[in-house]
Amino acid sequence: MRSTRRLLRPALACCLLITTALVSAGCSTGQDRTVVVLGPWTDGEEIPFVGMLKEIGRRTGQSYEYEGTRSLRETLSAQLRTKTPPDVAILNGLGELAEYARDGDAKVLADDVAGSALGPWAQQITLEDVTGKRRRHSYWVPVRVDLKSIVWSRPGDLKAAENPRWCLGMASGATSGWPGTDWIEDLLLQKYGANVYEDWATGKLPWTSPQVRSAWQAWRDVLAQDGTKAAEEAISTEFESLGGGRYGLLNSGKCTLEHQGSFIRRHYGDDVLPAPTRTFVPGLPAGPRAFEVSGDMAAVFRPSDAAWDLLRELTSQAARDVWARLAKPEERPLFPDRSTGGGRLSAGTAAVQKLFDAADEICFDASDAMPSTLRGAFQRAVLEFLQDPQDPGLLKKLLEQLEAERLMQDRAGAFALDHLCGDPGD
Amino acid sequence: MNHDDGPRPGPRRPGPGDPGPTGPAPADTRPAEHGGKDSGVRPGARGRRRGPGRALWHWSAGRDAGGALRPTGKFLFSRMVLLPALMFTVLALAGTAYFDVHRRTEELRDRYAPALVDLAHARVSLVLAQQEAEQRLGTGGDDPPPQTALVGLGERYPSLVTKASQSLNNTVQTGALSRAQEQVVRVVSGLVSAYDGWIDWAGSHHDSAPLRRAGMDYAADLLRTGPTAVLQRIDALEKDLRAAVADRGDRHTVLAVTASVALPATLLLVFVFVGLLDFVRAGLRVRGPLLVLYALPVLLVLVVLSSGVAAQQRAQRDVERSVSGIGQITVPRPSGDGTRQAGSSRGPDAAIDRADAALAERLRGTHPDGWARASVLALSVGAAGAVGCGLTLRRYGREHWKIDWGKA
Repeated sequence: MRSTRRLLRPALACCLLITTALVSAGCSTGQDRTVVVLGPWTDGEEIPFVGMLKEIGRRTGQSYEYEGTRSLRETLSAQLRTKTPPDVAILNGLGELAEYARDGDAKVLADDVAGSALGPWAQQITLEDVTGKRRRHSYWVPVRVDLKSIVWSRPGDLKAAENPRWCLGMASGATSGWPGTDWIEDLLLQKYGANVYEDWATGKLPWTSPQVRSAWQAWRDVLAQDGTKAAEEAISTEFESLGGGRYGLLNSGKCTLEHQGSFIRRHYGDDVLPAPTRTFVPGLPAGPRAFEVSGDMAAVFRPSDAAWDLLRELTSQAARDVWARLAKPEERPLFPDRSTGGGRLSAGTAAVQKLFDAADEICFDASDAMPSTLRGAFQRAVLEFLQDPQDPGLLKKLLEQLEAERLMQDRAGAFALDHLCGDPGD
Repeated sequence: MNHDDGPRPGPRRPGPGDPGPTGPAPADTRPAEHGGKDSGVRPGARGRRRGPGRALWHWSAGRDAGGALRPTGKFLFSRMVLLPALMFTVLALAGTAYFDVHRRTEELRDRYAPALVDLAHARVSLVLAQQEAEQRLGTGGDDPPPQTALVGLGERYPSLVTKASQSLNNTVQTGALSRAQEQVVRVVSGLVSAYDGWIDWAGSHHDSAPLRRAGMDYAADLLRTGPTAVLQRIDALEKDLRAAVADRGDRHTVLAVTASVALPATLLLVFVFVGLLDFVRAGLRVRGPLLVLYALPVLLVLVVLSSGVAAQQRAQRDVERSVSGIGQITVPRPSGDGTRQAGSSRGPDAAIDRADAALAERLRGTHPDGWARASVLALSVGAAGAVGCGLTLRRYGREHWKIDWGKA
């Protein structure tokens, strides 16, 4: 009897405790602490990066959510307009990033993070602070880079060597036309060198200058090799997708030479290798081995300890090693110090690294360094040019329009970058 | 003497076996079969039948092992604490269960259903916009209509794209999305902006077949091609939200846990209460109508909340069915010559609006706010009843405590 009473009282006390617990549980609210990362990689290219984020998350306890899109500018602009930016955005346009920095959307890097910024990818820009003083700061760090000014081919295919044909595809979602801008930038760099290239990209050289016109005409001559219809067909051809889950224009069987950045090697086997542009484009003068490069730069848009920690992680050797380990050999990322992480490299990756190491000069992608409106105009001008590259009147009209836009951007002080070229060892 | 006026004043004479105010009862060591302990209890058969059930009843009804009443003061004091505590426990458990279900219904009604309606509007608007653009600018190798130079893309196309963008924005405002899902919607908004840019570009080059076709192709790719295209992302998000709706409608964890605790608690409450009534009748010579009056609302609360839970669950199933139906609304393909049939473009939007309105009407019919108010009222009355029980027992036991504690 007494033992029954003894049991009942604690049981009743438990009832009250459970009640309290249930009620308080119902009142508690969870807070979402996910760090959102917006980036350019999609269609499978993002897989090793997302894997790296998961490993960082397991180690730090932080959760990350990656969302990739090729419409980075439109997406980020829309988010900034509604004051809901991602925590971290990874962009490939220095000019665009400079605009965000000027508007106060991209945040100044802490010194320890800024110190890991290297080469032409990491620019300090001068802006006025709230007191009107002009200060130089870093706003982004490169996390991955790519080599350009290269042409991919199958050196072992002798038949293709006898009958070369250029692969050409401009379609790329929101940024269609950029493969053509790469061509013109590269030809300008190879023909006139880094100084002229830099002046043009930073808004000092007019679009109507003889050098710029000559670069467009050089491209016209390259296109003419493949007949009159090839240029027009290129307008609607995808730059990498062949449809049906197949990728890589060199795999189409319709062309043998592809002027494309080093990232394209992920679609190819060891039989496809890069070589400098001048190897395949006749008439380019001898000179320093100059290459265009591009990069993916991370910047913080919604500052928090977690966001800054992520930037530190992305520039750390540990994270790079993970990224490299998770990537297939043919898609191993190149880092700003020109390393690719440990492990076996594909023949294409090894060849790219060798070209990188042998470069005398590297220059950041010119259109990516321009203000975003001018960059977009350049891309669309390329598409219009391809309707009829042989029409001098069309080229004159396009260059005049681009020049008018350059002047407008220059008056607005939109060219924020001073230099884009340097020694690879910088 | 009126039995309804409460207990008669004056000390009660201790009964047999009553331990009294200062010490336990003297132990009766005579074996049960020789008449020990329970005077008047036949040894043998009844001693063997006294099991846990009887012991529990004795505990509930304030009897000692011999069946005599326990000291009134102590018993009433214990019940003055225990009974309201049990009542509040039952009320809290019932309230937790009801308001958990109510909260889920509110989430489904005010967040998930509107989010799915907005996503459906966005999806439909974009498909209609693409059809409109194709009609204005031609598809494949077709030339655009002759009036394109004057009309361009017309008025309908931009309003459809604006509506899609607004619907996407509204989706985020519903609060139904996680941060990651919000980012997906932002990406989709960016893609819609890029899509619109290419359609506009194609329109501005309507007289150049290669550029017009290219612009339309770029736009169509952004809209439809691959898992990262606009419509695919919207579709994936709709699926995720419908799964969340189904999950919320099915997940009854809190309800199951609280019900599994509330049921035994209620049975215990009833058991204790009936035992108390028996004690009060036997020891105080009152039937305890006030106690019954105060206890009744507590039991009625369970009836009210159970009915409310059933109504909420019906509403949740309604939401699930409706959003599933909304997800199946699509845009019909245009006729063979690419022209719109009269009213066909308004059809899907109107169907979404009709489904949304019908759902809202059905949900209003479940009177959710009315049930919530009724539940709060019932719980308040029940709580007042619990307090009333405690106060009544305090009144019953006051004089006994004066005697018991006075002696101490």
